[in-house]
Amino acid sequence: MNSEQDRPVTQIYWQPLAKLLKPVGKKSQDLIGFDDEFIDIVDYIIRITHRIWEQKNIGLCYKYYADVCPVYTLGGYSQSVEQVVQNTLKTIAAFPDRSLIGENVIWKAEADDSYYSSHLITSIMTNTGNSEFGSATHKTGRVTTIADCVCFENKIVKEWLVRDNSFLINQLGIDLIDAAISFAQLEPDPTFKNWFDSEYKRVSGIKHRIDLTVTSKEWDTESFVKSWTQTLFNQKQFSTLTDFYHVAASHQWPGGRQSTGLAQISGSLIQWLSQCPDAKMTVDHLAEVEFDENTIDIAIRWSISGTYNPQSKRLASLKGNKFFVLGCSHLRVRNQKIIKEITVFDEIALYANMIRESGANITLSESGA
Amino acid sequence: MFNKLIALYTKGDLAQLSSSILHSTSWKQHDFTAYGHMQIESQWLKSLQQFGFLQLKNQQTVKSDKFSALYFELAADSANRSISLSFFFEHNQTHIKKLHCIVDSLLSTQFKHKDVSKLIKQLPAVDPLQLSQFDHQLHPQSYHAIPSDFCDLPEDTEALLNQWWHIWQEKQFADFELIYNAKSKINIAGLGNSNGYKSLRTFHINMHNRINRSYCQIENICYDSQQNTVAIQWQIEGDYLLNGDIKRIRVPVLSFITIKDNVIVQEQLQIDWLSLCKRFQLTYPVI
Repeated sequence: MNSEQDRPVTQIYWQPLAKLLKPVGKKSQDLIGFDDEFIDIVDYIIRITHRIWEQKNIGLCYKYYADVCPVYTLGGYSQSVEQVVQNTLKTIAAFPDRSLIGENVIWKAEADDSYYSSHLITSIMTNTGNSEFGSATHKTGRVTTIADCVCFENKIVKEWLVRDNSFLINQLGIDLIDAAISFAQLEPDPTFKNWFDSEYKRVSGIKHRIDLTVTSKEWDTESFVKSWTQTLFNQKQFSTLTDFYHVAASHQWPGGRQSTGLAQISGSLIQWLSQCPDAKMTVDHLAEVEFDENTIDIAIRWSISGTYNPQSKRLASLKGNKFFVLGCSHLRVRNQKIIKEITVFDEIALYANMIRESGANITLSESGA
Repeated sequence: MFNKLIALYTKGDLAQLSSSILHSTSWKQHDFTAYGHMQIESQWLKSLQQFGFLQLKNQQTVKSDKFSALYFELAADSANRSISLSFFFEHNQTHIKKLHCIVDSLLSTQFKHKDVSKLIKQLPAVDPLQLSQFDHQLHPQSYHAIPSDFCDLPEDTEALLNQWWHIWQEKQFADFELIYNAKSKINIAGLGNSNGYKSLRTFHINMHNRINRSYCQIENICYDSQQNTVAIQWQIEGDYLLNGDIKRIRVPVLSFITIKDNVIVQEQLQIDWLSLCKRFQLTYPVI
């Protein structure tokens, strides 16, 4: 896929924004069917995101999204470019100064000439308008998003979008369960329920007892990720953390779960998984790019399903509900160990789905009432 | 990079340092992470308002390829009081990607003759943080980070730093007299300067008696082979006891160490006490 090997595909880590927005020189990928201005898939993702979101040319969605473009989130489903435009406009109206800081794009050239991109974004945004979380708070917050897109001939044809909304609302002063109650009142597209149910069934049906160990001699990315999934999430063998993580690995999970090193990571995973003790996880997509000589970046899209075991008294009535998460993780791996992990999913949608499905009448907190 | 950081706080030279900031640079100060030019610049302006324009009194640098660290003290010409700031940052010689600044905020209240509670209110809202309980015990079969896991160190320095870490991680107080010069210069945030390790030892005992089930974790280390200086970014986490209640807390720490003749001759231990109070709703003094 890289026809002109004399320049590497864009890596954004140390690049100033001005350089990213005006790339010079030869293309590093063929990008068949894409506009000639784009030198590679990373350039395409960075520049179209900047144009649509930061320059607020929302109508460019018509140019860069296919007319029929399924967009999967844990909070809902949309499939037409019109819905993408409407949702983008609503978000910009609620958070008019939203910046999109591209932290990383991990990509894969697929066999069908499409490209898969996993875009890690940090946004700073002020909530000056009413949003799906409630009334305007006029507070500024930071949020991490991962947008996984299938790009074909200059258009995004499919997208999975995850946002760390629980981290955002904490900064806006909104209670997590209040936000979930409010969100549960929104009725998703009927297709969402079909997708949700079929995904829940698919993930619940996996075989989780098979040992998938990976040795340093036979190490490859796919085996490593499958072993990470099976050993930690499906079999809950936390003493093996040392096989996967560096002793001072940085670990960011939603809602402000920030850990460093094996002991903290172990605590974070055990506490989170205890709300779904029979959790099963599948790896749904995997991409890998080189970061530097000894380091690779891995993007994983994954799903978890199981049965809800509430840790919060307010959610006690949801016990036994279908617990399903669509998540994405970016792993930086050096010498076969994870040195940095950023995992993103939408905790508000996770709880909102259970509240809606159960029909439970959960009362708002004093601050949300 | 060191000069640019110092010029910001002494002259208000925003332009020089701005040229080293990327769209994706993060700057953590007072437990709030600012991203990108606008938020970072706003952070600088607040610091300048808080400290004023001061003279450089004392500095310590730790320079390495990817990570560097800087500690400095600032004071007005006429005053004998100073404030101290410390920085640990990832860089590529041209740009800073990620920076953690720890201000000795308690010292700054004394410097500005301000009330502690007023200054806590003025600090930015901290980043959300959810702490999970974990097994803090040093089991024989489990592995816990030690300094030599982070960078290549000369044999003597590695042994010394591992011993230094045993003091904190394994509470091996007997090592103090083995690795510190009897007249070592010690500075502990909020407590000030002293000679010899005794103040550090007392601080350590008090800290761990106030925090049950404590666990120390190294985040990163940079080592300057030219100057034999080391900066260690680390944390203490545990259950803080307050009027019979237990609060899980995490204390970010930056330690700057100068080694001479294979013993520690100087150490600065930096903690932003007031941000800690703000994050966990504690009252000062914390220990």
